[in-house]
Amino acid sequence: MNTYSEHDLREAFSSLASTEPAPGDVWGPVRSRIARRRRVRLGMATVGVAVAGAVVATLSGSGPGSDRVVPAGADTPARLTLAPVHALSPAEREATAQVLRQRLDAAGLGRVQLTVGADSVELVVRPSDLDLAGLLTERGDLQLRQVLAVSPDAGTGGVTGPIGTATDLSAATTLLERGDCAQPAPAGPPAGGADGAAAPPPGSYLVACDAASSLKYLFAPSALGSSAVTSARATLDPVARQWSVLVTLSATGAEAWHSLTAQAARQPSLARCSASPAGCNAIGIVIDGRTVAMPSVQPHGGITGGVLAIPLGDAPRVVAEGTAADLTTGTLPVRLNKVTACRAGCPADG
Amino acid sequence: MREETERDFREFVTARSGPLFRLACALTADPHHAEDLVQTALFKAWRSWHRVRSADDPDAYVRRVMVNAATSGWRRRWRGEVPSDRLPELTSSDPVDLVGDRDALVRAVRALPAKQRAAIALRYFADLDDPAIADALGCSVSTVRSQISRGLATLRVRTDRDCLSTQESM
Repeated sequence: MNTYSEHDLREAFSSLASTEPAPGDVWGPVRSRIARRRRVRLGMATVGVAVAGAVVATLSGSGPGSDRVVPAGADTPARLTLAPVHALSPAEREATAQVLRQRLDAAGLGRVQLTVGADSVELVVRPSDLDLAGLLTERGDLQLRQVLAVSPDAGTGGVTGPIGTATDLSAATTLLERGDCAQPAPAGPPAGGADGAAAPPPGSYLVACDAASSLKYLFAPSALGSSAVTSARATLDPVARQWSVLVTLSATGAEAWHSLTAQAARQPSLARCSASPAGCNAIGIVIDGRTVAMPSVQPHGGITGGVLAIPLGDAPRVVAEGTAADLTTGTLPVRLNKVTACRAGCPADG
Repeated sequence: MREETERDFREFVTARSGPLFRLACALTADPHHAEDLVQTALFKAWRSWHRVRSADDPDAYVRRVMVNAATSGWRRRWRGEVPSDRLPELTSSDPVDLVGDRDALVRAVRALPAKQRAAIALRYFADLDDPAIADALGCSVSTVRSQISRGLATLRVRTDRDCLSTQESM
């Protein structure tokens, strides 16, 4: 079994830590957090005065009985506000509400207050459920794409994520060779899709960067995706103590998954496949444009049984449960962008 | 007074954000997560700024806050690309293979449990000794050594200490 040296390990950490923000890039967000904390503290002080006033009024019998003052604290609901990338039509509003309600039910948040308007979506949740609620509002678009080629990125300070899509292999190969991970390619449709969706068009080739390893990947068009999923559930590997999502595919999906993995199994590994016309033995599992896993298929053939495991690495349980709920209920018709996530001391309206 | 404190803190941020960000990249193996981590650590440092400033080693204080944030709770949330869990059998002088080797090792580092990765990053990136790592992680020196040992075994990294002990025993 081959091993790595201490030098290799130090080099790996050096490549992970090769990017550096300008000082202003750090100071700006930190200053914003400080300013926000000052505002929250001021707000809490105001509430405190109001509560004291209400207590005094009640004891003295002079206050109006219908007035209620809600103290800020653990029971104060959190509020998540999102904006669709374009105004929702009545049909899109209905579909968005239906998918979100199904996801909330599936995740055990059935009592969450959900409001879907043409220009905004709002969820009022317990503060402890705010992170899960955020995950449930992801678009939930799954794409399974074979890796066709790998190329080192010559630049520095690159991003992790898609840098472009192309409708034909020649253009995609050019993008792989010339695309700069620090500057997403201007040519071709946007990597996130022309309709404002987070996911790239499933029928296009996709080029994505991994900043940590300074590598670019070329992915084939998606062989199957969200429509092939019948259910998904979070599961914990008791040995590795890592969460993954087990996806059960429809009969058609299972057939497509077997074909995809059988084709990939015959190809060389990621380190040796750049010259291979039929690509590599790895499959990119892409959710909302992010490559969440890239498992290699063992050479003994395609995967049967119609079950797909998505490893989530260090992800906590809430991510696995949120992802499972997203995949079970299908995609949202339109991507929702987070506007505000207020965990404590939220204003009564929006 | 408040302006003076803020200026003092801002100077600290300007001077230290680069090294802190690089350490955060090593701790999280994700530059986007690292940005968030540095901001969180500095914000927490601001909340206790008088204590940080009067500490013997303000850097160590902020580093401890950052390591704690990186290895606990929601901070460990998954982001971006997560690798497969198998290391390919590679070690070669072929440039294409070397790309694969580096890629595989970086991926394996990213897949380590957060505390193991933090312990290894503090020793092999930040070059801290075991007592300093124990201080940053808030655990004993023996726990640090076992975390590093398990992590190195997972990564299949043979350290210089291993080589020395092998030579000594020959």
